[in-house]
Amino acid sequence: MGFFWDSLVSAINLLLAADSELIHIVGVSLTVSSSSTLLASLAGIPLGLFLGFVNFLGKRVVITLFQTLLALPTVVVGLFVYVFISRRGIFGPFDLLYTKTAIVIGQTILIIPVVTVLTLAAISRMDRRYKDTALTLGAGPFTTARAVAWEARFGIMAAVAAAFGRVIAEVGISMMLGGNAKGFTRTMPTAMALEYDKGEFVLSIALGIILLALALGVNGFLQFFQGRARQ
Amino acid sequence: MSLYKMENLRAVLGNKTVLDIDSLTVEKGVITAFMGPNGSGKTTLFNILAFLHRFHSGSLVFDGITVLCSQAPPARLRQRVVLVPQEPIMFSSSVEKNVAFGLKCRGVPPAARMRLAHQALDEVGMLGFAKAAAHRLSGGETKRVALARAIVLEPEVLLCDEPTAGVDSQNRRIILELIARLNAQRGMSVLITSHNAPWLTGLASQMVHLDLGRIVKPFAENTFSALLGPDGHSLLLTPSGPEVLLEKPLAADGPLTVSLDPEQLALLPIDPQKAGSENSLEGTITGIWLKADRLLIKVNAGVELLVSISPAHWKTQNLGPGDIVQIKITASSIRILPEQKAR
Repeated sequence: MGFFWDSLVSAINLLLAADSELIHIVGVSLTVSSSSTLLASLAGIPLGLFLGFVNFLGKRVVITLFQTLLALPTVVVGLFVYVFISRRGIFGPFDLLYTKTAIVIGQTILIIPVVTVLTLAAISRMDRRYKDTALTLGAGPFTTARAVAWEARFGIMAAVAAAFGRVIAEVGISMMLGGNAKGFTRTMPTAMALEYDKGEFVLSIALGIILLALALGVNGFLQFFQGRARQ
Repeated sequence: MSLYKMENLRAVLGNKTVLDIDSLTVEKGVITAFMGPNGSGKTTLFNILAFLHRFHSGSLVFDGITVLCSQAPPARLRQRVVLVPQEPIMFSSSVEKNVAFGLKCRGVPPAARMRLAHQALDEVGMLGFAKAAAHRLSGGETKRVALARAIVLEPEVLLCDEPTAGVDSQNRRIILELIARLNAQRGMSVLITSHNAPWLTGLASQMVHLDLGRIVKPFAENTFSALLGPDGHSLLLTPSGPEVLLEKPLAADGPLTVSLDPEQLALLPIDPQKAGSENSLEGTITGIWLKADRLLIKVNAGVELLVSISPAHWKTQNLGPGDIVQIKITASSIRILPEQKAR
C-alpha cells in the first residue's frame, strides 16, 4: 500500500513542480496520439461508413480482415513501418526514423482498424428508418450516409475514444520508430518503460497515474459533449 | 390515368413470398386505400412504391416509367414520391430542421426552406413546436411533423402507412382532414394503408384489400378476427372486443375471420327494455359519411362498426353523432371469410 501511496504523492509532486521534462513528455504523448487519432479517424470513419452502406462482392472478407487487424501487435506494426522508413527502406531518404512523424505513421496504421470496425458497428446498430427517411425525403447516397452518421455520432465518438486510448498507452511503436530519445520522441509509456528498466518503480507508477489522469480528462471531455448533445 | 401499374409483382423475404400481386392499377390524383390485417404486405408494398426497397420479380410502371426489379430505382423517382411510415422517426435536431431536411436535399436556400417548413408546420398545427427537439415529441405529434416533413416537398404522391395507428382522436382528425385537403386542393395522389379503419371508406375513392401478400376480393368493411363460443351461440369480436349473442348457432369452429355486412346491419335507437338482448351491440355514433346514395354511420361499440342506411331512413331515426344506439346483427349479416392458404 505504501508503494502506491508513494507513487501517488510522487505523481502529484511531479505535476506541482511542473517539471519541464515531464511537461515535454506529456506534450509529445498528446501530440502524437492526437495526430494519429485524427488521421485514423479521417480514414477509418469514411471506411466504416462505406462498409456499412455499400454492398459489394467480398464485403464480408474485408470486414473479417479489419476485425482480425484489431489484434495487430504493436511490434508487428513497428517492424512493418521500420522496413519502409529505415535508411535502406523505400522512404529512407525522407529520414523519418526516430521522429514523431514515424510514431504517428505507425500508430495511425495500428488504429485505423479500430475506428473502422467500431464505426461500422455503430452504423449497423442504427435504426434502419433513419436511412429510409433520408432516402424518401430525396437525399442522395452521400447525404443519407451523413445523416445516419450524425445519428450514430455517439457510437463513432466512442470509436475515436477507444482508438485514442489504444495509442496513448502504446509502447512498441513509440519505442521502435521513435527511439525514446529524451527531449524528442520520449512519450509517457516509453518513459515508464525506461524508469522501470532503471528500477525507478515509484516514478514509473507515478507516470502511469498521470497517463490515466490524462486519458480520464480526454474521455471526460468527450462525455461532456455527448451529454450536452443528448439534452 | 394510371399512376402505378403492377403486373405479377413479387417480393421475397428470405425464402418467403411476402407480396404477390397479379395485377393492380392505382389511379392518379385520387386517394387509394390499402386495407388488410397485420402482415398482409401493405408496408412491403409501400416500401416498393416509395422506391426504397426492390422487388423480386414482375413489373412496376410508375407514371409511364418502367421500374426494373434488377436495378436500384433511380433517385429522381424518389423525389416524386414521399413515404410517411407507420412509425416515423425524427432526426435528432429541431422540428423545423427535420421538416426542412428534404428541402435542403433539393438545394432550397436556408431562408426559403425555413419559411416553407414553418408553413408546413402551420398546416399540421405544429408551428408552436418549431424549435422543440423533434425526438421528444409524442406519437401523434411525431406523425403530424412527419406529415409536414413530407408535404413541404409537395410530392406528386404521398404514401401514408397507417397514418392514424396509435393516434388519439384529436390528432387523427387533424391528420385525416389534412390528407383530404391535400388531395382536394393540390390534386396530390395519396395512398393510405390501414389494417381496420372504417374511416377509409369515407375518404378513399379506390380500395384495395390485401391478405397474406395477395390482393383479395373486397370483403366488406367490419372485418374482424373472431372467436366462436363452444356452443356456437356467441361470437367474440377481436380478442378484446365485444361479445355478440347469436339467436342461431354458427356452423364453424374456433378462431375465424368474420365480416359484418354494413347493408345488413340495422341501426336502432337505444331501448332500455331490450338492452343486452341477443344479436345486438350497443355503441356511440362517432361519424357519418355520404357515399353514393347511402349514408355510412360509424359506431364505436367496443370495435368500430360501419352501418349503411338510406338517407330517408336516417331522417326517421332522429339520431346524430354522440347518440347511443343499438346495432342489430342479423344472421344474414355475418359472413365467415375463407381461410387464406398459407404459402
